[in-house]
Amino acid sequence: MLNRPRSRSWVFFVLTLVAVLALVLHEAGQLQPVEDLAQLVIAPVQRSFDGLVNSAGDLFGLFSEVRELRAENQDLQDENNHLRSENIRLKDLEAENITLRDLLKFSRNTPNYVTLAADVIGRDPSPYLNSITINVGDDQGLRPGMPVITGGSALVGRVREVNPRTSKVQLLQDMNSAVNTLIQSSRANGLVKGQSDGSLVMDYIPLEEKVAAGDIVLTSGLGGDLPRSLVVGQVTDVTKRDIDLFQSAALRPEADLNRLEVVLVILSFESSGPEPGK
Amino acid sequence: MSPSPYFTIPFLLIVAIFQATAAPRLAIGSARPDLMLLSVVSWSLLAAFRARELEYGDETPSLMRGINDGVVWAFVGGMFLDLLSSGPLGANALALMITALAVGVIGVRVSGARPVLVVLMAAIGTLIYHLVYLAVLALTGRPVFPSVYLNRFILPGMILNLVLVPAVYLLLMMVDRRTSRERLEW
Repeated sequence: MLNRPRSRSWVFFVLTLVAVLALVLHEAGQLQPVEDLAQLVIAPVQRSFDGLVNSAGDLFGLFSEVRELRAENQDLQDENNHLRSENIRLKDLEAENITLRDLLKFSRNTPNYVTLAADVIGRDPSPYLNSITINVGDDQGLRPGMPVITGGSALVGRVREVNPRTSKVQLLQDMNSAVNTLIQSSRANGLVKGQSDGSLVMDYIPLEEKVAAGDIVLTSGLGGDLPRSLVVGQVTDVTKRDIDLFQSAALRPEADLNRLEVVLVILSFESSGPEPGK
Repeated sequence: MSPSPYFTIPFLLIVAIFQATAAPRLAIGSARPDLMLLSVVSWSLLAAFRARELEYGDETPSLMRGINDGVVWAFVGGMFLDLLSSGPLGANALALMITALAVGVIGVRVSGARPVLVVLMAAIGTLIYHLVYLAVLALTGRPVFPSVYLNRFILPGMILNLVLVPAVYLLLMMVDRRTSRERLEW
């Protein structure tokens, strides 16, 4: 006769307690060493997986065409396969080269900035949080708050969490992101914030300032945590009502925040020197 | 019921990394494949169905056996997601565990056509998971807009999950048959 299986009703409550404890300790900043250790293990796997996903997408189109050509001439198909694989690889390198040239141009134009290039190896799995994971971290000198840009000195976001070899970057479109900015033409100040739908809005623009669609929005450098004149975006629509204290403007971000592959982290900058956005 | 940890932990880690790398690129509009949630829901249901098959009836120990497997999966998978996310550590784990608990309890208690139950639990599980996760975000001081998120992420995500859950469930059912090691307490 079977004995009754032991009750394990405590499992849920114990695990819930552990999860709540982890939540509290994380918010208190006490779990950083544990998270760093976990990232040391997870990051290499994540990097490899990201590379596999990229390769799979490139190879899919090749295989269907290979099957058609193989029926006609096996020798020519083998040579064709080799040339096509090489072509795909070269095109990928060309695209990467263009991106890196843009970043190098930025570095040369701003000699007083210390920068570090990084690959984007992942995005936040939650749809409510807008962040990316890059493959550089504390070992390479990153610190929370450092600005992150892409080609053409377009601001992407700021470093939020740093682990030994990876970091999480909070994107401009994140709900918790807020950047001091100004309109390039009128020099009107405002604050660019991420919205719940992933768009950008520049708030707190004084009513008397002139703002129009097409205006370029730059970082103002107020507060000293971001360099001046990094390009944030372009005004697409202005909301101005007499009953409000301020006017606001909807922005189209300069950087394509959904297609980031390589970014530049500004490790240090000086307030003097050439302005990158001009 | 439980498969070896040597399978469970790497499997859930791969699912979490997939969620952070490939899933955002496979989004249809604002709807992303939520494979971790579907894995937890499917495994919770498989555990619940197995607990009923073993004919321990309505005894509490057998109910907990059916539920615990899903809860453990939810905890491990949720923690992996939290390590890859910029959100609070423990948020995904809590949300998935509560989802697994709800799905497990319903799976053990409710009888009916299993395909219907799987799809129904995917829909209910999606709602529970997102609402609990948003509640945790709100409690930790992050801005939350439930009505916007419902239309933009939750409902589209639920529809996508309903399409994907049969494939995920069938896959895990095959895994369950090959790797499960039933522990009978004599």
